[in-house]
Amino acid sequence: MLAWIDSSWLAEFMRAYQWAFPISEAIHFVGLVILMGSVVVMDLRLLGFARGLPVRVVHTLLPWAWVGFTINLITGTMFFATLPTFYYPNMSLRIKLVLLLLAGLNALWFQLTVSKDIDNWPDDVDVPGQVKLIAGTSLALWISIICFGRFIMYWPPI
Amino acid sequence: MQLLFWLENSSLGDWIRTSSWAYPWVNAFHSVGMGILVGIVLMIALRILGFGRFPIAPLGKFLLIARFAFGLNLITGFVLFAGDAQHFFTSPTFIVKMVFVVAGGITAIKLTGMAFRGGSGWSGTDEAPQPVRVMAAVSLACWFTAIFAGRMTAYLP
Repeated sequence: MLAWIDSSWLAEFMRAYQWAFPISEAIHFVGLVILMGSVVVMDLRLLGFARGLPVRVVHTLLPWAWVGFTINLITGTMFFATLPTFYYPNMSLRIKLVLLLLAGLNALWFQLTVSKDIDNWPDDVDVPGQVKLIAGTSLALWISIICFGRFIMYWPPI
Repeated sequence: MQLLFWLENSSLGDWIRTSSWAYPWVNAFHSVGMGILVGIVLMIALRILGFGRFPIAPLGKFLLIARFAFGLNLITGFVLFAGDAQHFFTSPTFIVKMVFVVAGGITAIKLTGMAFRGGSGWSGTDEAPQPVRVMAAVSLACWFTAIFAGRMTAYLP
């Protein structure tokens, strides 16, 4: 599997153009900003910050999280293809991927249990504790995901 | 230059260079601060540029968080700078980054005045007038350029 990735056209592309990696890193940061912007605004509002902002309004900004996520899925795959034998056993990347999975499940939980109620909430609603738990978990997970992303290059610590 | 040499060899410079966990952690917090700061500017800019048509005023609360994130990155950025001060100070890529951080900050302050303090005569409830839109787009462009240049400091002189 790793050998196949290592000899894929994407891997060859990444290695043929020495600027492909740094530029995709910069784009990965742009994706991070787009994702983080909508996550921070949504989660902090749910946690009770900026109560003047109706939740259904912030909810309309949430699709941007998908834009950022898609950009980072693509650029992240590009990194992996460049050096699969470095990334595959990397413990920091593995932790990051587990946290990503948890963030996905957390978002799914929100989607299945809460999102249908949003339109019925009053503008300045103080959301139920369960929703605050989801929002706090989401924020903590995404911040950790950024941290473990940065640790990849330093794992194991030198 | 002597000051930079002193900074680089101060206990702060030594710590960020030699501790095995200092650099990864400070770097990670710098990225988190970036995501929060520019993410909030982006969300405000998206509203101004017409993605969403809601009253902008309550978004102004997030400026406090954005300022906090800017402070975090000023501190973490200074620590990272201290580890290799002489190199960064003369690096054209780093200087470009700093210019765009300053430009991003100034335009963000101007945008705050226009969009949240009534500086443009805009009510903040309907479509934003063109000067406000332009300021939002320029500020966003400055921040993304700063991010781009920041990443390139690892690869360019």
